Amino acid sequence: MAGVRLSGVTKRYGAGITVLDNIDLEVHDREFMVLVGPSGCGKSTVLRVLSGLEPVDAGEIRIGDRVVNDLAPRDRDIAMVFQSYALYPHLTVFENIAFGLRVRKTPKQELARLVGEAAEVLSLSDKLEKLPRHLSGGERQRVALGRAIVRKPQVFLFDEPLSNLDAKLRVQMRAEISALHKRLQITTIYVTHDQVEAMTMGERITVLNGGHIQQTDEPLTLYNTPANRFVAEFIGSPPMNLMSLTKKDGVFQYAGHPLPFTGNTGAAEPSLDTVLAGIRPEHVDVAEGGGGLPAQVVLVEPMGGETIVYLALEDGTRLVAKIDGMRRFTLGETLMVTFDHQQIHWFDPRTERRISL
Amino acid sequence: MAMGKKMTSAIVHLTLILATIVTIYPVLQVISISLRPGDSLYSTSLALIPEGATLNAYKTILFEKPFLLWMRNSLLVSITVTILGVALASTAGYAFCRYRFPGRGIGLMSFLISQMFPATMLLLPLFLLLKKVGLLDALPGLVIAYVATALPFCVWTMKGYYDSIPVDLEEAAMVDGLTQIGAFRKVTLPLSAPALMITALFSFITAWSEFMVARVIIQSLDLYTLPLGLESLAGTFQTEWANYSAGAVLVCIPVVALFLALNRYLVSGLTLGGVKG
Ligand SMILES: Nc1ncnc2c1ncn2[C@@H]1O[C@H](COP(=O)(O)OP(=O)(O)O)[C@@H](O)[C@H]1O
Ligand SMILES: [Mg+2]
Repeated sequence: MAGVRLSGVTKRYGAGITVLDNIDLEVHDREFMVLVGPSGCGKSTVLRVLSGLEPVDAGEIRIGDRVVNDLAPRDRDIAMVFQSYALYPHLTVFENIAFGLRVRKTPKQELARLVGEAAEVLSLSDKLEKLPRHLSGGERQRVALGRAIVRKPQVFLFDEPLSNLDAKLRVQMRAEISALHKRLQITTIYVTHDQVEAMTMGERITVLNGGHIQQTDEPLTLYNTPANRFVAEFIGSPPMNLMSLTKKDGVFQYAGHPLPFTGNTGAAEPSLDTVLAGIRPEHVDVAEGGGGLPAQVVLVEPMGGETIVYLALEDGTRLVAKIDGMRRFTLGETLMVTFDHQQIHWFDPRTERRISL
Repeated sequence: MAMGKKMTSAIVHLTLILATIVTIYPVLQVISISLRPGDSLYSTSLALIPEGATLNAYKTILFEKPFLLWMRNSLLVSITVTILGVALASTAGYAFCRYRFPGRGIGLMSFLISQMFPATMLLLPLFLLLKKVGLLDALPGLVIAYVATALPFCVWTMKGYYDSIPVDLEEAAMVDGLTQIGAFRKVTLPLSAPALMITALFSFITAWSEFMVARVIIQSLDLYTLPLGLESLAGTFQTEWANYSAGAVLVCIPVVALFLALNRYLVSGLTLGGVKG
């Protein structure tokens, strides 16, 4: 059992491209840490430097109490599930799972027992003699998991393991991987670009963008107090609405409209002339009359339990509202929009950092 | 529509049948001559098995001529060339595929360019080089010459095949506990069986059927390889055509056997592009 700590880790490809820029990340022993960010932000690179497949240009990597910077992948006691699964095509399921054990010269009987156990946990017992190419996508995924868990390493690294599965299987495997983690209690770093996966699976989540860590927190903390504009927009679906407000007569206003939220706004950083207000779709309400900002209905997505309404304000700014239940809306109709003013997030438009009132 | 398809199919098959006949006819002819009783090259008979067919020529070739010695020399040379060719091409191809090093591009390109010149152009430089290192008129010299000629094609074949194997597999093996060399041996190499077979076959045939280089390098009669030996049967004044043909048939047998044995790999090897992971 071991925690993982990256301190000041920097990784460059060639001279120009800095893929990881001074990353500090601590993953506790037994923790399930999700690393989330858009494609190309450096998530896989974090796993690759952690596993030793790529050297770092600066910084220190610790697994447990060992500095592993100079250790080869095989000496780091980690297991990795690749996005492509990377199953050995010429070996049966049994041999794929047994591969790491054989390399470590595990005695025959123990090897058979361990592989059998792993196969049992992953419902692969009747597939052991098959070759990977005769398996379905979900089964291949399980074999890749089996190969990782059978060795009981100190750390699991998952690189977007579910991205090749269809939606239904993805939801199922999500739960299975979470259950597996509860059972095995092995420190896990799980990479995904899907914020739903991150929110549902992570004990803590690290948001990465452009090779920088944006925020590390528990899922709900991340959702309720995003540290900056990027996190605010990245976490949550549909994404958070952002409106630029300008101060006039000591009060922040939107496009000259008297704002539906008052009072609290005046207390924002007094030096700022403009602020970004972030409002989650579920905190936007619409009504057929009364006060608020007038907005036109552009698109309606009835989801059953809730309805997503896309609105256009008078200056063309788009807003998304998530309305409980199945209220009916007509395209083109004008509604009055109000916000739950307790739930507004404020960001400095220059630094894009969160500011508090 | 259906008519058009049938026509196309008929034309394709007709072409294939013609090509097959053109290919097979000389072979049948050689077999036929090897079975003739006399030394007559020209015969008006079109029968595949000639009148009074006999295996005498085979007996003569095997027991009255140093055929078995030539065979031994050829096998020695060809097998060594095959082993060296596979060993060098599989490792060099791997380096060219997975590593970026100074001279990589030039190396690959010069391999390719060397293939553009006819082998005869290499004769003089090869002769001079082997003379310098004292390997003229010696089987090792011949081996070196053959390996050198077979290697460019083999390296390209291996490199091309490795390119189609995802790096992920080796990385997974390294995380699973192997060194890079271990991953190469346990994962990449077994997956490259088809390319290895092509490399082996190509190296073997290059050495087995080569005449010109051998003619230039080898002088001693007891170092003759099969092609040299066969040629020596064609006398200045009179050629024993039946013996000559029997020898030719015998020379072909190992190659044909090898082809048949490796057929499975060859077919999958030639359609490599489509098979992934
Ligand atoms: N071997 C490499 N050489 C150069 N650039 C690379 C290499 N590998 C990755 N990159 C670049 O590094 C960035 C991060 O890659 P990666 O970690 O794979 O992103 P992610 O997994 O978050 O999608 C990308 O912009 C990618 O183009
Ligand atoms: Mg990636």
